[in-house]
Amino acid sequence: MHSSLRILHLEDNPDDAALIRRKLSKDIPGCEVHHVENEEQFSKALEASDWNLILADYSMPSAHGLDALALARQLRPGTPFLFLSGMMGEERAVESLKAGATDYILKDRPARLVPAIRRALELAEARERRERDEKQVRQIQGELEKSNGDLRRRNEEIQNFYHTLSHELKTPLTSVKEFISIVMDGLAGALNETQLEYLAIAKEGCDQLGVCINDLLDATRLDTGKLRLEFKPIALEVLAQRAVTAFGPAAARKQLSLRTEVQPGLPKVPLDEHRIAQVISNLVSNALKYTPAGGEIVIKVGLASSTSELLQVTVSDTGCGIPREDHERVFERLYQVRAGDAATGQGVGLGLYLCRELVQLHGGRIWAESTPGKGSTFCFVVPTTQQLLRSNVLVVDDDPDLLEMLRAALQAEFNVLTAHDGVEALKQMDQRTADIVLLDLVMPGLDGPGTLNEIRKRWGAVPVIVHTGHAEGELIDQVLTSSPFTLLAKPCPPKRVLEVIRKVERGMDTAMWKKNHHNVLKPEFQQKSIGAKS
Amino acid sequence: MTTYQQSNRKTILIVEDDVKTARALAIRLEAAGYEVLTALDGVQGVRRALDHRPDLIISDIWLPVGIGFSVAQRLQRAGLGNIPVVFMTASRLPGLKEAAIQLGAAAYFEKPYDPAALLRTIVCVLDTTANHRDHPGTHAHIQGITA
Repeated sequence: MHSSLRILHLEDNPDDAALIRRKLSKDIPGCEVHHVENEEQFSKALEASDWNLILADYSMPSAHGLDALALARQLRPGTPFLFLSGMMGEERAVESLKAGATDYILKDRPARLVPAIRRALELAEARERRERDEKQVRQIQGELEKSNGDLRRRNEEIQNFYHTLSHELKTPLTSVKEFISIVMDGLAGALNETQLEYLAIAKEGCDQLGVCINDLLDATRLDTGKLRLEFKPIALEVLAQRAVTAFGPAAARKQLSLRTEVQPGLPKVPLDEHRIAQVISNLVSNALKYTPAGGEIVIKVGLASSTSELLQVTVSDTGCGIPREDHERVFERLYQVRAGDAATGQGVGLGLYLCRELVQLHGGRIWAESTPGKGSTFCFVVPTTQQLLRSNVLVVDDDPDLLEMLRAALQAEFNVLTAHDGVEALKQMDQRTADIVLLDLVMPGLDGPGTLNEIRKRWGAVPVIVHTGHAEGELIDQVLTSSPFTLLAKPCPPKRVLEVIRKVERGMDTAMWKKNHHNVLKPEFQQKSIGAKS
Repeated sequence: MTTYQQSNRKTILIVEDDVKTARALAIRLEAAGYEVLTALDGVQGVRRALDHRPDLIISDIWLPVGIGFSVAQRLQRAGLGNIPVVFMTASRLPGLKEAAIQLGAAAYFEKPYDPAALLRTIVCVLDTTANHRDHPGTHAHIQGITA
């Protein structure tokens, strides 16, 4: 057990004291018993040094046991305290335990003494370990909070940097473009055809640069989760017609026909007008770029063939087309048309990436169809109702107050489903599969790890956010077998829970799962290995 | 090239810290028949507006001394709130346009601006202001115009 176990023994009867000392020395090797006779000595000994255990006679003329206990609790709150008494009724025993004693032993049952001491020591050790663990958890939480704050600040710095950068780039661009326009408009004297043609090329370059700068800013907003959509009912055909008006002159210059084909009687759909217009104009601008003179560009708007719950927009051209293997890749960030494919290798490769992200933010999908040499068709669909756009979030927690608080915080953006325990959660999932699950770990009945295990078995890789105050320990070890998941430490303000769910919804988190199996999130993205315990 | 010749020349104050943009705007507006004043910062802008009482102000939003919004606010306090202000900015900070409209902006343009749209808007704003001159306080705002 202990190589040197120091026991402080308060006993006014020297015979009893000697008896105990003999017993302990014999039964507990390496045990050192320090005997004191009265409260004064006891108090001095307590102050002077640390003890592994305190044994005290319950009732002595010079010191009442309960006073000694109170003193010990005050000076050495963590040290186990055992009463040793010749006669101790049940009432007194309970009273002493309530006052903080670890245990009591009757003098006429000395066989209990050593096991009781061993048990008290084990308890003390366990408590110490728990306190150490708790301290460690608090420390980790503190560190996570700090690094989360750092990340947030850094995010803001990045945003600010890109805003400043875009402002600084656009200011000179404005005057360059405007002076070109002024010369072209003849305000600096008459121009010949060639001069006009060259200036038109320079002005087009300015427009491309302007689009690039805005794309760059949008891409940063997407990356930092700052891009928010504003939905209102919009007639998609109006946006298509607007694109025809805007690109009409450019198409005419290139001898291209540009027109719309609209299915009559389409409903208005909830969209961010500016963003969907951006997607359409991006697709049309690409079509213009890659279609040779004499070609045709058609923007079609209609119900999707598969379901009336989706509206479909297609932009088809008669351009060079895209090889099959690139149909997915064109939407990747920084995708570039291969050198030699076209003389029009412009742009930083953000356009279609932004299209895909923006369509997905609308709850839609975008894809390309193409036959090389014959032309390309870019299609996207958006849901016709807002309800379809919203993700179902299942919140599982046995704390009804927290459930209500989270429901209130989330319901503006998500369809919130709630469950008070694992069994209820699985029932909810049976009725209506959740897109995201926010899961508490400690619950009566089927707990968090058990629930997650079931979810993985039956619904596979549904995104799960484990929301718990136990960032370390057995529960986390259990739940790790059902990773990947995102870990969000409790307590966490509902607003932050909302932010995290938004990010998980946007799939920003999924990439990390693949790489790292799981990540700790407190409350923003942060990777930290929680599986490896020291 | 269309010119917007005015019978009695209207004055437009340009508050813009980028000298090149200010110059380009001035060329454009003078060619369209307007009298043009320029100020390179917010304080100078307010001073010019008080001295010359222009018919319209085109103001950048981020200015070295006092942002464009504060120019508009100071003018309102000085009793010149009936002068329509067209805001123009290279920034894309969310909420900027909303703030401008809330402040009673006559129009809002993002840089690089479309000169034809700008000139059309100016004609329109000046017409509306002239029609409402007899009814102070019923200044009509053209909202949501973006280049």
